[in-house]
Amino acid sequence: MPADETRPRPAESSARARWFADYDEFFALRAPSVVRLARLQLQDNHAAEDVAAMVLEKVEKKWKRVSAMSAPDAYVRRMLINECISYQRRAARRHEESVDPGSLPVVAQPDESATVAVRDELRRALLGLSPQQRAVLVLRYYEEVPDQEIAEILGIARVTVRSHALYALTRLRRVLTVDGDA
Amino acid sequence: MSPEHQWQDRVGDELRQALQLMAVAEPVDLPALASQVRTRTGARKRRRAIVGSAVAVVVCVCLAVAAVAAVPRLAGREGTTSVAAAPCPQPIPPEYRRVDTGLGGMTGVVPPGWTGDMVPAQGSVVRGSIQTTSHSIDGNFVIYRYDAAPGVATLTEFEDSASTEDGHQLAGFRLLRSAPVTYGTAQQAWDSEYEFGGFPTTRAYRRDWWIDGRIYSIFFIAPERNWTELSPTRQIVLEASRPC
Repeated sequence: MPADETRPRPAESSARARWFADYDEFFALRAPSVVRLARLQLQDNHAAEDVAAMVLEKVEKKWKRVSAMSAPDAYVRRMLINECISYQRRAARRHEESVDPGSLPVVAQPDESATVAVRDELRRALLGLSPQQRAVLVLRYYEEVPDQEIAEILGIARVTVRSHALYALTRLRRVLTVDGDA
Repeated sequence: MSPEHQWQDRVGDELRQALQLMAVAEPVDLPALASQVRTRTGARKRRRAIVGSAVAVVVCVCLAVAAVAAVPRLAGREGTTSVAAAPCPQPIPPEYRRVDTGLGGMTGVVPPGWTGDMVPAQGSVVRGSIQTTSHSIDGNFVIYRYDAAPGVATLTEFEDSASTEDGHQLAGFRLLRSAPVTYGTAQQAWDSEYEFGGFPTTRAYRRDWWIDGRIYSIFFIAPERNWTELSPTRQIVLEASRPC
């Protein structure tokens, strides 16, 4: 999760310590991160909000158990990524693209047009990856999750994480490297 | 660092920056998201309420049907087992042994070659029990139970409870017979015969007495294949065992 939304870890010695006072506090602090992670994984804002709402509802339902966990963020991240992958697989089974890359909204940022074009290319490249490959990149380069933990989240071997990452980076290399070394 | 790793790191760094920018490109509408979560939660609660209502209706219908079915049995005494108002305790054949169950004055009977052992109380309902067994590989046994605070108040509830043991549904439970028992006019009991699955198929004969708000029970349990052969033994045990 982004650093601006992290909180100090509660003291290990305190058995009653909790990361969040209650679900409302969790929602206020973590919901934006949950939505952003879903957006990066799904590359579709509407679907991302639907999946995020589904996960947050589940968290609320299981709040007593989640709040007692030593790493609730990791648990929520795992739930979210797996829900996203399930969503993508369902969409693929229905032969539906989760989003038409050509219709992605232009990012409303004070940006150079070249950068926007690169980002659009990046989206297209990400959409060309499998759900697991995309999850590996998002978790590794956005969430900064170690490969071992990614392997646990996705239920695959660590070596598979590395091969997914290598394959996906190779696909993105053409888009992201502008100095001609691709 | 090898050139292979160098390009991976460079692409990774580029990707990291791009993902960070993409993530914050559009703000998250928290109130809208909260509303969406609330809608989902409301839908879940509504689904739960609908399912709960449906289950309640089904249970009510089942109870009503069971009650309607039970009334003629009670009123007409069809299939009533009548046991003579004999002295209590009832005489037993010399080869049988009488035991004090210690369960509210209930006398027990141990058939020849069987043993009688106290077993620990089970669950929260059973306050005490004594078990006699043939110690054969087939596992014929009699259990006496005494419940000082019965959890069942009506016949329907009692019949429903027969298919469970300590709250767990008995696998393959099938009620074969159910009828009241009269002892002259002084006492009334209820007999039920049922079988349940497993290997081998087991059959049970249960007699329950309601006396002063307490339930005294005897269970005669044996594999189905021994049932006919054990019929004389079962009859003696059932007739000689009763709360006195």
